[in-house]
Amino acid sequence: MKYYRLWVIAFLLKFIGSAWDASYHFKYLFEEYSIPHIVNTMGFALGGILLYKEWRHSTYLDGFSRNLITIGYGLFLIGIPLDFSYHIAYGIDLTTWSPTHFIYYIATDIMIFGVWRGYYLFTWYTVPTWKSLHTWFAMFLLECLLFPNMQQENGAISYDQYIHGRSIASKEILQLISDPASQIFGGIPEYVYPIYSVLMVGLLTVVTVRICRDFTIPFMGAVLYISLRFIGKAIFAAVNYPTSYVPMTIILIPLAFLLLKRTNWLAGLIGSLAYFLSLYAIHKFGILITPPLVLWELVPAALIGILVPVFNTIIKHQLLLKKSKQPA
Amino acid sequence: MIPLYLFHVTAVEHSESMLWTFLTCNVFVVSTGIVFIYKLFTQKKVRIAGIVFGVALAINYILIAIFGDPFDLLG
Repeated sequence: MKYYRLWVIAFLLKFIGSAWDASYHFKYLFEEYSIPHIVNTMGFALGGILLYKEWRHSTYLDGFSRNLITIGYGLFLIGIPLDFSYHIAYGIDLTTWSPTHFIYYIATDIMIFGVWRGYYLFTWYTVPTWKSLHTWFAMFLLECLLFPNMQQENGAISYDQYIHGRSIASKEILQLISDPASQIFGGIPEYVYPIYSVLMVGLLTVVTVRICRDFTIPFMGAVLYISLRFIGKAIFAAVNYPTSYVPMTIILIPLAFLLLKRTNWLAGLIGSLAYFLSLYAIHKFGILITPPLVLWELVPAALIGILVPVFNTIIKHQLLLKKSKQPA
Repeated sequence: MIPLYLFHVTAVEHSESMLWTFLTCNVFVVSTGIVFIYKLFTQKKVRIAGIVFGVALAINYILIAIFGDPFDLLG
């Protein structure tokens, strides 16, 4: 079990490094020694050592999980030179939503999924519960899936500071800003934020419930994620770094599935409505600074909330049909 | 500024020859990477594909360290 705990440390280092990096670039453009990147790389290297051990002597991972993690590492390593070329062509990108950055996210998702799969098979004799490492891996996957939203969540507070003349960004960042309402939010339309959140949280919840047959794991994973984000926010605030809105209302999506004990369209609808309306209320009544939001976005968010569990049911049905066609 | 949402970046001057050198290397890295990933996914023997991919990566990374900065290799 120590092997998988070391993976948790590796992903935690990546989590810390990436959150630090996202916050860093709302204050500074370039960094001399890229300390957030070094922390991130330490997590990457620790994982690399753990993976290398498995290639030498297969002990804790099955062959396919090991290969999945290797695919994640390979893809991440491909992303680095592509990102470099992208920067030569277009300059440094002030957004988490750039195409080459998505290679990193997808690669890390595959790594986490591979380790989680390995852990699931390694502990096949136990029933998955939230008190196990499943919650940690669900949290890491959630963090990685939602990472692009850091642009909107950091951007919301940075934009508010900017328009009120209280920006803490460095001069070189402020000199680059010509269209703050677009640039600070990474240049993507505002409706992407709630829709993307519902899609990713819904997807993770439904898939986790389907594989682990436990409704508490995605819920506790989201609780852990939100708690760590609050800890991070407190640290960043203490050292005068840009802070972010913590997306605490995402918890309502896995909570709806947990309370209904079903992965059906109704749970998806209730979860997405509760998520959006609570976020909208926070935004509208000025309780906290949130990414910009308009009420009509409720419709696509709710639709995505319904479609995720519906597609899950259809896929399950098709798999069952295929299985029944096999000769006895 | 490039007027596309996903390409929201800070415009800078760049050398076309350096860009094309790196893009050529990128094509090599991506092609060998696809073969390596495919073999991993289908659980075939990956030794040769892995070595070729590693060589492609090494060339590209050395060029980044020379023309860019070793810290660019941290992603």
